[in-house]
Amino acid sequence: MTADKSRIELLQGTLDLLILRTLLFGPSHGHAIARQIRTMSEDVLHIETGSLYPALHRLEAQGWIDAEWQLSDKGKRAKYYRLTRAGRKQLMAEQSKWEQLSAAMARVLRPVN
Amino acid sequence: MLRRLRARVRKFFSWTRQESDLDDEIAFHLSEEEEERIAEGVAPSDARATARKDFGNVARIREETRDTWAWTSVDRLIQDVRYGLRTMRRQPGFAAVAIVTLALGIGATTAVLTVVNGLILRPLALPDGDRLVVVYATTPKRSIFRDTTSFLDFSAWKTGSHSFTGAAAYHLNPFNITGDGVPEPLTGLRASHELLTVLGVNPAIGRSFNLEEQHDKRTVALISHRLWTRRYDSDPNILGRTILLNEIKHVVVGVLPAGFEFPPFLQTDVIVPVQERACRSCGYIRAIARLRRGVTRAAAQQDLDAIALRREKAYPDSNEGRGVNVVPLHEVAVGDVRMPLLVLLGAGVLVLLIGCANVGHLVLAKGIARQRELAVRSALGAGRSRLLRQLLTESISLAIVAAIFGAVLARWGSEFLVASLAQQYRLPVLTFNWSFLLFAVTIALLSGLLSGLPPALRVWRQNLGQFLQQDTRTQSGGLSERRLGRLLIVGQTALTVLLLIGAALLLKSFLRLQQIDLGVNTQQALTADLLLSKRYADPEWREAYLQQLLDSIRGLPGVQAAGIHVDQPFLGGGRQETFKVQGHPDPRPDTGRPAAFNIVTGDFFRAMDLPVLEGRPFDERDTAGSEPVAIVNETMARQFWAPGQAIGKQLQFYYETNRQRWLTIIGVVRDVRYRGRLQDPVPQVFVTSRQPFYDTADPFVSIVVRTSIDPVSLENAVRTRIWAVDKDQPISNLQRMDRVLEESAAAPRAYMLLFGSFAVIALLIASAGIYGAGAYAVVRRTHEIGIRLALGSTPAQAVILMMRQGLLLTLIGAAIGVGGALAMAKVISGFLHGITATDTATFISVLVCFAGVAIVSTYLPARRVTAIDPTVAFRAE
Repeated sequence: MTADKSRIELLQGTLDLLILRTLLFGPSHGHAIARQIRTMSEDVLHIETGSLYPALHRLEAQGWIDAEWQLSDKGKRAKYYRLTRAGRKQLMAEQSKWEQLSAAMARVLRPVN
Repeated sequence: MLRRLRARVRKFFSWTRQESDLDDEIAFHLSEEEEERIAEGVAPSDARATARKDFGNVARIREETRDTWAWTSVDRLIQDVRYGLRTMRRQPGFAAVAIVTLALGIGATTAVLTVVNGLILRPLALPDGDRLVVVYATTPKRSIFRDTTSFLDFSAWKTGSHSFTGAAAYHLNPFNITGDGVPEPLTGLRASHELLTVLGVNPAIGRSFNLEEQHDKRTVALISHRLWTRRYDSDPNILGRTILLNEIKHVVVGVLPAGFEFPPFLQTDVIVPVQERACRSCGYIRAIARLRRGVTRAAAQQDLDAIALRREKAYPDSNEGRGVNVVPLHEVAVGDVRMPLLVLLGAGVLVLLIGCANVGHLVLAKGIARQRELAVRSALGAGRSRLLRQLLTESISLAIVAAIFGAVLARWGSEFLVASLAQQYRLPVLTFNWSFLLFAVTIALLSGLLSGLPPALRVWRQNLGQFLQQDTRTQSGGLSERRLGRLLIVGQTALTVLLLIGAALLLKSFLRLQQIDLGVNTQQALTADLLLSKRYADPEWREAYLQQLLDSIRGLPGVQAAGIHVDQPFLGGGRQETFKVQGHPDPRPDTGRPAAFNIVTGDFFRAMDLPVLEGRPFDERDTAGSEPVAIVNETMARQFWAPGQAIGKQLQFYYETNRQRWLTIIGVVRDVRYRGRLQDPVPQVFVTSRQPFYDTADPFVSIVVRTSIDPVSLENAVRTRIWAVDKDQPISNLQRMDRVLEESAAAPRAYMLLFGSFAVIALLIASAGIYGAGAYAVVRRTHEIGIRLALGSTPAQAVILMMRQGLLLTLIGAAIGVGGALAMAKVISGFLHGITATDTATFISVLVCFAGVAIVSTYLPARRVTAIDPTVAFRAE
């Protein structure tokens, strides 16, 4: 896999936020979540499968997402993750925290340009 | 929260399903990725490979994902335990050996530790019991350190010292309770009114007696809860009731709380006020005191030393050379049993260590297969700490399984131990509680850690990756790990030899003890202890009563002879007097060796089966009016006179200065080990109760009945005959005479059996260890042996080569073990009788026996090299 310069390493903890955000559109399986993040970020954010699955299972253990085996649109058995109420709350909190952080970062970085 | 908990629980029970779910999830991801790539135009054959490659290390991802399930360390532990159990199932032989080994060690240690905890470490069942001390009088010059004292000394200690919140005087007193049922001998105390306050105990019913009642010599009594429930059927109107103690009416003023324990007298059934004798040389009192908070035993000792010194100066006639000794009550209670138990505990710990060393070595020796597995796991992404944790968890799981079996063994062991010790020492009842399980689990965890340590250390130190690059054949293990393996073999050999020597010494000592001829036939005799009533205090009354008892018993069919004496045979103690012997220099009071003294009634010598070797036994010629006579034993005769010269010689009591009466020797009887097998016969003087000049204040007498039929069948008849003469005569310890002996030998037997079983266990474990090491060496060196055989070495030479190292290691271990046994000689010698702790014959026989076991357990695996076919060994390359 050749490294693309436009790709960005994810900050600690942002993957959780991205997963939760993706699931806001409805239940999805691991592969689709990774693809969706890639598409939404216009190919900037590539999710390592090595971190995706541990993250999904961790979020599930924390009770922020729920999982269910369903048939995919191609008729295969797939594990679909769904945002729980606690997860929705967590997403709100994380999102506002993230917005504060990015606004602050922007303010600090602007003068340098 | 609740939902999460439920999810966790659900997960816990559906672990395997979860595992397969994860596999499915990953497989689904890969197939999606593959399809996506095909859709993008990648060739189907490449699509699968690239998808897989881009996915990354599947095993590691699975591992990391699995880690997220294991949220708490408990989950993670369970995961490792499951892995450990899986490993055990794969190698049932190894697991069985390891579990049995550890179970024996855990069982041995837990058993002794339970007893140590229950008896030695257990605090006294009295509030703030660690502040209670017993104060004894001492006579250092005569090596007497736990003596009684006078009531006046006690009062001086009490009023003069500043170390105590309170002090009480007490002494043991036998009581005979009569009048309201079967006459019963009871153990009781005479005590000053402060006793219960000092002990910190309140009566369950009523009150303790007070100072006035003590001064007025009022006859009041406290009785035990046990006596109240048993004899008086928990009578609610017990207070004020009159009971007959030693035929004197006593009014019950209180009942002691249930479970009251004043160690070491565990059966205190009656407490009555002490008599305050105004006599400075009358030693009959012991003192118990409660230390003030913050005052140490040593400080209290100093405090009392000063008082003792003042009294020595003030009253030289009675107090010269008399000191004080302050001993914690706890030590008084368990002092005798402490050392043997600690030695047994040491032996138990040795067995456990040997077991741990062995299991550690087994795990290490299994290394070849395991090393590869670990290396693969490491390559697949398992971190080093993760592997380490896993190895330790594996050995701890082994230990936990072993603990289950160990606990069962421990339970039996400790019950046996307590049952054996209880006959010799006055011990409280041992109760099993949670601490017992706690010990087993703690010991199991520790031994798991210990035995998992050697292999874990190796994982920690080595670069596992390199093992994948080598092929199996050349993996003979690193130098350091082989050194560790050798160290473990040497270690267990040394500890085993040490235990074997200890056990062999104990066994030899015990057997020697059993062979010692007591000098009497104890199987055809019955004995009983009688506590005589005050009514028989008058010597003439006493004599008449005893004669009546003997006449009555002699009439029974099957009785050959009956006699009475003032001693309890074979239980130690007994009365001693110092004698002046005509024609010999006076004995010096501080060094003079006293002789045992016994007053006998009736046909005593025939009842004891003691032949009169010279002269005659006592008979009707000896009366109050006739010449005072005595009979001595062989040892006494030998000590003072030439053979055959004792008859007609004279003796005198040395201390009874007011009775200048010479006793003429009329007979010499055979020696008898009156103090049991542990003591050589001592000089002994017998007198007859027909000549009532002697101090017969002691109300205890023992009756001896020689029978021609089974003595047990006569027990009831003897009891009935005694009660026919006096219905209020209490009878205790009515039993066959050899039962008394068994009791006195119970503790040595228990030490020997336990120590012996520990040693046998150790030997089994160690020989398994040596065998395992040898088997491992053969596998490791198959290739090398193949070359040797091909180059012309004979199979016999190869076997010797293989045995050499194992034997060398055991030799070194045995040498260290012998060194250890010599170093421990001082500790061991306290348990031996008749042999020294460095008994050469024992050492040699242990070494020969051990050498045999070592040779067999190195030969058996080494023999396998003869089956090596050089061509096959080469092809294995």
